[in-house]
Amino acid sequence: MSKPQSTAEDTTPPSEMEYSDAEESTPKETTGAHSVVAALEQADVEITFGVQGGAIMPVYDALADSEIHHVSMAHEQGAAHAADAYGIVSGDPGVTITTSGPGATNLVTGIADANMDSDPVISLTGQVPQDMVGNDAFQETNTMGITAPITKGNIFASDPDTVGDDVGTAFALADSGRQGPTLVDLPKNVTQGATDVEPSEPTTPESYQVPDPKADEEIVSAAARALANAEKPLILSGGGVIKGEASDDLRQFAVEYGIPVVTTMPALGSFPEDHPLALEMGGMHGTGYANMALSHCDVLLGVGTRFDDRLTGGIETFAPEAEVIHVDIDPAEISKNIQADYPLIGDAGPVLRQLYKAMPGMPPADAWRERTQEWKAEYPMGYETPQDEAVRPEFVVEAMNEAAADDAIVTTGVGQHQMWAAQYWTYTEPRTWISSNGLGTMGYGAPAAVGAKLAAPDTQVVAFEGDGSFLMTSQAIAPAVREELDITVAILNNSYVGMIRQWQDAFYDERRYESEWGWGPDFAALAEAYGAQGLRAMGYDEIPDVIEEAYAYDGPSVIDFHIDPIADVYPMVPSGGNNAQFALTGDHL
Amino acid sequence: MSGDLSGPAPEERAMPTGRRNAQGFRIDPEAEAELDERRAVISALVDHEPGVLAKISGLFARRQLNIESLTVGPTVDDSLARMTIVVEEDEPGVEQAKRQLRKEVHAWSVREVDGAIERELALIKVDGDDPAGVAAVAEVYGGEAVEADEGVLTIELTGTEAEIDAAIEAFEQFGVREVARTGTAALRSGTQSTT
Repeated sequence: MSKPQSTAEDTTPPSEMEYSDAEESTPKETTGAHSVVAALEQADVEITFGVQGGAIMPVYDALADSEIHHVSMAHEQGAAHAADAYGIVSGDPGVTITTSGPGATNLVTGIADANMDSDPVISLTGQVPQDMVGNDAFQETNTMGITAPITKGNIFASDPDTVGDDVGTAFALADSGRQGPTLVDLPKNVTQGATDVEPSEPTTPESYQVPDPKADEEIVSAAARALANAEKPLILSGGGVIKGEASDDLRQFAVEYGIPVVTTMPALGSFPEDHPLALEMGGMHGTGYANMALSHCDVLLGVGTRFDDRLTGGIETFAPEAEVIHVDIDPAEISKNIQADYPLIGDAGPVLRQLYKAMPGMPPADAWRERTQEWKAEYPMGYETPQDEAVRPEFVVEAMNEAAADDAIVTTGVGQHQMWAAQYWTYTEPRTWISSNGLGTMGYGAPAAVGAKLAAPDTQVVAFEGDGSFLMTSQAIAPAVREELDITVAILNNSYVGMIRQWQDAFYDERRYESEWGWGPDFAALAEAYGAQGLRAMGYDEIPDVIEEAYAYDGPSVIDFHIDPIADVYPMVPSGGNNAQFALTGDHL
Repeated sequence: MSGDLSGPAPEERAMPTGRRNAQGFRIDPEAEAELDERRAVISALVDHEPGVLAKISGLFARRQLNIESLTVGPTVDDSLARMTIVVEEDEPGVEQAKRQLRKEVHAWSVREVDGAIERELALIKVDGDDPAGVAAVAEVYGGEAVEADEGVLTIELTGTEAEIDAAIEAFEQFGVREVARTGTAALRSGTQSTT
């Protein structure tokens, strides 16, 4: 690393920035921090999430003069999740501003989460002055090194004159091609340093190439022929369909050619689950009918999916008879896990439109569609609700769904509650399922609800959390109260780290070591302590009222639903198992 | 919704008969999946900036791609560096390596250079008890002694990776004390552009 020249002490105080318009040739003297903020304004950023701190103070000081709203989160991880959810809901990159050292390391989980789910998040991290970099200074950490493997790209800002461009580059990069997180590390001497250069129009680095949005016409034609000749065609809609704004194209394609649709978890909402062609979510906790269809199809059109192991189960038994058409904007995803017979590198929407045009006819799939309907009847999703027994979590999800607005947004933590929320809430629109799909970050739900609500202030936001999951980030209720956000957090409280307890029961001789805590906080009282509305439901009879009360309350509500402590998530394909052999009960494992 | 999860148990269901191998290829269910590793030389032009080498070597490490050698040095353009990376991988692994490299923001171009001119430099420190013998072997492999000192001869040698492997083996009869090798550098021949 080149040794930087420091000007940490030798900076122009902001008060000397008075601008005289008498002579237009006199450039406005300002600071690197003002350039950072100018770049954010240029990118039409309206909201940022973060936590103040020593090395980032110049940026915050410059932000004070801006129209940009900053939301102080209680923890940097929460800032990253809030920005992530903001990005998913709005479609525009979310932004975090945090300090060096712990401010950066606390972000790491959130950045890794965004990276796994290809979410556009821009992290601006403070850094010690350049002459102290590498000296183990107070609150110094090698943020560039730590975040290199979990970002699309990261930039060490080294000059007040170019720091604004660095921020612009981070924006352009996060939002182009396959989206993802980027980071700009901002040494304090750079943000304090004087500059008279305004940030230029953001561009991606010249070395970064994004594939053409349209795929190779010849492969498109061949793929379309294979699909049109398929007796058992199936569409697998992935998260890229939502990111590429291709949900309408996918819907049109599937409906026109009568092809059933399975969605991956991040793609929930990309195809309406109330449509007859919808087989809903596939994979580990997917529906039986989705997994039967995946296992028996003869041509599989995967769009914007990376064929994650939670979807495929064991590779050997995944769609084992299917020719695979794989549409993805990232060439490195093609044939990474599943060999693509027809690799279509391009953007989901344009490629689906190409395919639509190239289809020589309808696939002869009447019998297949009938078979998928038979599977729906054979393996229905459902549960029993004897009123004198403990509350079934699925019932809570459905009751919340029924009482909610049609376009409500759901965020979740990670664990059993996440799977029930995925299975039993009916998703009909893109960008309504906001979850930690790839990284599996417990505690994602509450801070994500903060970001989601700020991105869509007029839309209802419901967060599902588990008792274990919520404990990880419950401090996110503090900013929710401060920002007066009308959100509802529903805790499915089973007094266990439930998914672990389920696996222990299934695979570890029921030894419930450290998943059974025996004690948990009073979440309703905790919510009240934060200044939110705290509610509790112990049985079926209390559920309708608390939901009504929470939804009616104009501010953050937390409902502590006490549910059946040993309810399990089924269907289930054990890790690396055969999708067609999904278990419906523990006896099947 | 009501009614518990129901339906035929796993063993009662119709099962597909097809199968894929571990790389996701559809295969004949009877056939064994076979994976041949091969040596691939990849040349990449990257930004000549601090941290780029760490990013690229880190990329190979976290994808569990086996690097046999990696060299980096300046090119005619001051802002760029050429990396020559030799990997030993099965076919999908080589393809993944190239694709992941191309995704790296600092990589301008990436190409596998099959049949290129390949050379590496080795310094080989050999016991000097038999200087004439060492010199003879060095000559066979086109090397020369760059230093003779207190019973030790240091031989400088360039050649392909295989040639240097062979030379080191030949020197072992005299006793090889230390070896330093640069790893393979490669350029496509003639007017063909490498990257």
